[in-house]
Amino acid sequence: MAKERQIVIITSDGDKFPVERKVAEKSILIKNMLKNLLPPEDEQEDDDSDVDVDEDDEPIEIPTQNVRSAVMKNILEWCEHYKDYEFPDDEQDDDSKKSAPIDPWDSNFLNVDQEMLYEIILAANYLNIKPLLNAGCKVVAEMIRGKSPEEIRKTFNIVNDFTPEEEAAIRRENEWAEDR
Amino acid sequence: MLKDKTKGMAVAASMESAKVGRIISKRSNVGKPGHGKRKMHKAARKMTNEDKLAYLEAGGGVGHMKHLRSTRLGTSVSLARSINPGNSGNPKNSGNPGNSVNPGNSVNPGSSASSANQRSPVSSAGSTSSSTFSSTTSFTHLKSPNARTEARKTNKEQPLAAIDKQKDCIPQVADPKQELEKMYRSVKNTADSDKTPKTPPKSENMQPSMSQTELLAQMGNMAAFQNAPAGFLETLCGNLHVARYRPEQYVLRKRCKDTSLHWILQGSARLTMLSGAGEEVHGEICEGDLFGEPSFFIRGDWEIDVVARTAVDVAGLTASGLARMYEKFPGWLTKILEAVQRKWVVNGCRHIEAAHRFLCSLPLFRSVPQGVLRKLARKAIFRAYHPREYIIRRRDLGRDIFFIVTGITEAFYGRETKSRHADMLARPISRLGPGQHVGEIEYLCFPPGARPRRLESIRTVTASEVLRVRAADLDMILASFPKAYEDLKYFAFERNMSMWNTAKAAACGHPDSMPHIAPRRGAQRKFSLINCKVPDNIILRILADLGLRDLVKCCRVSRRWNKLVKGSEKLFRALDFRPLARQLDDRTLVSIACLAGARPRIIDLSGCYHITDRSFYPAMRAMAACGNLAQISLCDNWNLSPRALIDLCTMCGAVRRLDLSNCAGVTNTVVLEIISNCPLLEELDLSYCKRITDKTMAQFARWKNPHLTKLRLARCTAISNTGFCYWCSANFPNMRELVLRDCVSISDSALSAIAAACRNLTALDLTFCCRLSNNALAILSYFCKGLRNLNLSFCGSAVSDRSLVHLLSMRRMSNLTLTGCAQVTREGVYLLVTNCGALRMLGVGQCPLIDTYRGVAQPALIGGRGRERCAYLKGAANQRIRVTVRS
Repeated sequence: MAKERQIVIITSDGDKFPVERKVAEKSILIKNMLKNLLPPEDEQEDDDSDVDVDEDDEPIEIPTQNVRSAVMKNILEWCEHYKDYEFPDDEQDDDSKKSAPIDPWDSNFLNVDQEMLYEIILAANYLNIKPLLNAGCKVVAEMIRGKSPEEIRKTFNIVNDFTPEEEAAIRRENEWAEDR
Repeated sequence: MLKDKTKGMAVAASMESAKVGRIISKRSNVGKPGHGKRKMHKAARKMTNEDKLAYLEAGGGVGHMKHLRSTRLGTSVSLARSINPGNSGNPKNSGNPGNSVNPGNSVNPGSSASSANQRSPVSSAGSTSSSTFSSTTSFTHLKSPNARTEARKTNKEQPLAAIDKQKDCIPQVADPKQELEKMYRSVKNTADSDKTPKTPPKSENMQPSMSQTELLAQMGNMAAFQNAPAGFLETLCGNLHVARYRPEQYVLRKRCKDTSLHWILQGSARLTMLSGAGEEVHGEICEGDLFGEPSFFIRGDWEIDVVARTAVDVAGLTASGLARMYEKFPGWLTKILEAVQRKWVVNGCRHIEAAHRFLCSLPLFRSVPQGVLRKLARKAIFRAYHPREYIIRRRDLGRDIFFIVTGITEAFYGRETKSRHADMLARPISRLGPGQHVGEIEYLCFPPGARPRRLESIRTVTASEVLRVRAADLDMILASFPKAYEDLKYFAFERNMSMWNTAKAAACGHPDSMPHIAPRRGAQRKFSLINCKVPDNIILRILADLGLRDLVKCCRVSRRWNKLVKGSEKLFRALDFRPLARQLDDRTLVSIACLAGARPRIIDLSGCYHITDRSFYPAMRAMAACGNLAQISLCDNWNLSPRALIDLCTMCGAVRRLDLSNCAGVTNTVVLEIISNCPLLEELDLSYCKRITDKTMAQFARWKNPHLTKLRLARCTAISNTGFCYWCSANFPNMRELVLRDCVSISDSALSAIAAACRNLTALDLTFCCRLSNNALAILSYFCKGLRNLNLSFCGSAVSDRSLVHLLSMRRMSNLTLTGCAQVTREGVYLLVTNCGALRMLGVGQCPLIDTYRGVAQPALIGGRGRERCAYLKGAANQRIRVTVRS
């Protein structure tokens, strides 16, 4: 039976992560890939990935060139945690999604240094894991919220590349946002 | 780079001279038979030659022309003279006069001494005498190739010297005098080496268009030649190639190697460039205008297309033609050329001015003083590119930096293939606009003097102008301004980190690369991870989570963020002003509207009661500009006048949801405007609008908005029973939710009209409709069988145990509120609970008789905690019904 075959995710550094199908399918990218690779009668339609399906014993290898091992470890931890949870598939319901606070587990999970956070967000974007991407974006948004522009620059190490005149002009345009 | 260019010029010149040589040899052959006394004149001819050089040193004059007055068009005495005298006398000694090979002579005072010598009639045998004077050069010129290269080298150095002399005031151009002289020499040098007859240049498109006399008249009319000495015009016309072009034919194409000067004799042409947007006209030239001088002076490629507008006659004077003219009219020609050059240099200075202004505007050079930038601007090269043209190709050599002045370009980071087509397949990694630069990564990662291969290809998207700054020039500036260097490094790193790393790795193999890259002390900077790593679409996702105030603050963080916030379609889609409600005044609203532009789809101004007509109209006009507004909430905006609301309706024709509850400005006219202007309207909230009367209900009945699904008329106390009765003629098939709370005037007749008009209602609120009688529920159950939510609170007379029986026919009833219905007893509740299979919620608070039993068995109480005000009962379909007992 095809379903029993093991799935192995290979990261950019060449490490292999064996995962359950349910965990791997949190990523829509992998889910779609598997849908093509693992039909009941084992028909191979997707030629993009170099997975060998001739023998049932061999694990399915899924290469993810854009994700390095340290990041993949985090991603899989997240997938593992949510493997039994079905996320509502609400594309149109933007408002409720926006206002919903971050899940405490997520916010704890994403309490990592900035570099790792961005890499997780990018990997979630690449692997198409919407809930993780949303949570990541919210964590970053939380870092911006309520800060002055100077503080935002300091938080993200951004260089002020405005000329003083330009900056003054922008400040004048949006004076109301400054006083608090 | 500069040397390269001069070399190129030298090569071009030698090619040119080869061509000219053919022309001249032909002409001399023609001249020979008609000129028998040539031997006798040898010395004199020699003298004229030298005279010319001496004359040049003296600064030129018109008097010299006397010698050549006898000249007539084309093949005349003087033309024969212009050819090397050695040639005509002694073919063996061809191409000899050494002075002409060595440019030093013409400038050198020593040469004037020698020319003085030559002028003396001592040398009766010209050929020998000339060899004695310049034996070193002329003989070696004949015999040894070394001397020839040497001569070429000196030739090469001359423009350099000229540049040195003038580089502080004008672009890199040789002095016209020297330029002419050089030309002349090269003509002479090659004159005899090749005697094949010359073919006329540019023959394909040409049809000789006018006779010589016409041409003469035309040229004579031109202002520049008004005071020309006698014979000049004739000679000039003899050297011109006249061509006629049809309308829309190319006179000159971009990048063609044409260094002639052109005059337009008649007709007009336009200077154009092709771009993605079509043809871009840069100017027009018409009769009498001269063009072609830039490529003449820099000996570079022609930069712009010249297209004939009407049929146009163009007279071209090639470099060789000029050289021949120079032989006879050195003074005059120099004067004319100087004027032309002056005009051109003024244009060139404009270029420098523009380049300087551009460089000063770059944030990169903030720390560099203007004077230094001016020097840089002088050395930079402006160039225009067509759309889809490559500025840099991958694997090219060099580390110059290209600044984009106008237009858009894109960068490709192609794969490791040698095929040039790889670029076509590659996706652009980034787009660059005005003010940005490319090529900096190679510049930074490799040491001065290196010529690394380019890592990316840069191609234009639209027609672009690019300022190229040479690496060597930049090295000097950045060495003294480390701040600019750090900025450049920072921008490069931010633009493309992966390429930066590749370049660094490649540079590591380079022997002397390390000292250049080594970080400077005290200037180490941690790079902004978010700017380096996170692409725009993800940053936008992050920003979309922020509120208005935070978003506006992000504008001021950096240019990239500013661009994202101001430009992205994904932001400002829903403008929620509620968090700012209290402080939102007119000025703030306008400034936010300006920032948001036409992006919002949803605007929520609920509770922003400081807003007045003054800002409301301009703000709404800005935000409704594209007709995108779909949902507007103006709840509690007391200060808006009816006029403002009417304006709003006329602007937002596509609005679907409109909340005007508690707006004092809502009148009958406003509602009429709304329902007549907004055909897509789905939800309308007119609660607490006490100025609307029966007229409004009549309008509703008349317009019958087909999409209307929700209407709230809570506490519209001015509407009487008659008003609701208008609805008997209406039909709202899509109406799902109707709120008639506190419309105390509604009686049974009005209710039947409403129910008949809205048969598909699923939710109805009739709270405090006290005039309803016992028949009300029968009417409802007859028309609206699909009701799910029904609120009959405080409809005391309408609701009793007996009338509740009618509700049993509403099979979908799930949420029923009977708060304050004094006649309802336990029996009625039991009836509902045991018969309504869909019931989930039942509100029976404030029903005094609710606890009265009439001998019926108590339904099973299946839950409910002590402190809650509700109980859970088991219903007919075993569903759990939440019964609210107190409210």
